[in-house]
Amino acid sequence: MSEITELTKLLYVEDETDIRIVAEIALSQIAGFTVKTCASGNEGLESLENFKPQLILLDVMMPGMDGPHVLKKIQQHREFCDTPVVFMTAKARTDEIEKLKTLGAIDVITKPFNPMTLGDEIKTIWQRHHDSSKR
Amino acid sequence: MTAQNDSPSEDTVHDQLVELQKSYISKLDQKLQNIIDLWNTFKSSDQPKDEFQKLYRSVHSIVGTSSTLNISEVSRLCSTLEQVLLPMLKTEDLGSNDILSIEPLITELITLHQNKDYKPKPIQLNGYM
Repeated sequence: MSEITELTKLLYVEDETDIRIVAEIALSQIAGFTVKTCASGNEGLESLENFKPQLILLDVMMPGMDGPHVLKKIQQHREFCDTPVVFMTAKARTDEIEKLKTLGAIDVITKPFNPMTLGDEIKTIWQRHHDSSKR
Repeated sequence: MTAQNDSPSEDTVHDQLVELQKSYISKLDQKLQNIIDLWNTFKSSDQPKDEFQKLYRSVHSIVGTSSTLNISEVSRLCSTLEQVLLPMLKTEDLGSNDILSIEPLITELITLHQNKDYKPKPIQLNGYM
């Protein structure tokens, strides 16, 4: 049986500076991931080839290219079309979350998030994604 | 920007989050004023749909950050406002009843902006929020 690859590299796209800094503290300092943060969808897409993330965290509502639009671009990318994407959103309504999942995100994390446990939450999502891929 | 783990102590993380909370509070006057300005622009605009989108986006961004940084009164009020605005985003024409349902929340926001009683809660890493 093949082992699940350890999750180490995350790309995080979020336009709000303050929330980006909190998440960076949570993901790099607390959880120990190597994290690249980007302030826009375009910047995130441009970072894919150099950074080669294993998982992408996307804010939903951003000016210019929003999260679902960025996801669509990732899904069309020949190298990163299979890279799992997790949305982050302040919208916590169940119907909104389900709608985001139908777009192809493997999960949705709602804000406010707990900086102390955000990394564990992402590790659980990663594990679950790989468990379901093996079935 | 790329960051890697350098195993900080819980105190270091706590101090960074406290600084972020302070920094965000110092920017809230401007952010709330921006919402009030957008509301006034929306009410007098020929293209109210566009202005309404901008208003919604501004409120939404404050909800996410203020709730994560434990700034309770701002988070509560903006979250309530967002819930009122969200269904209206999908309607073709915003009527006077819609505006009437938003107005009291904007009045409350103006009062909050004037009093600056944002009610930040301490950042406590154990049992955060």
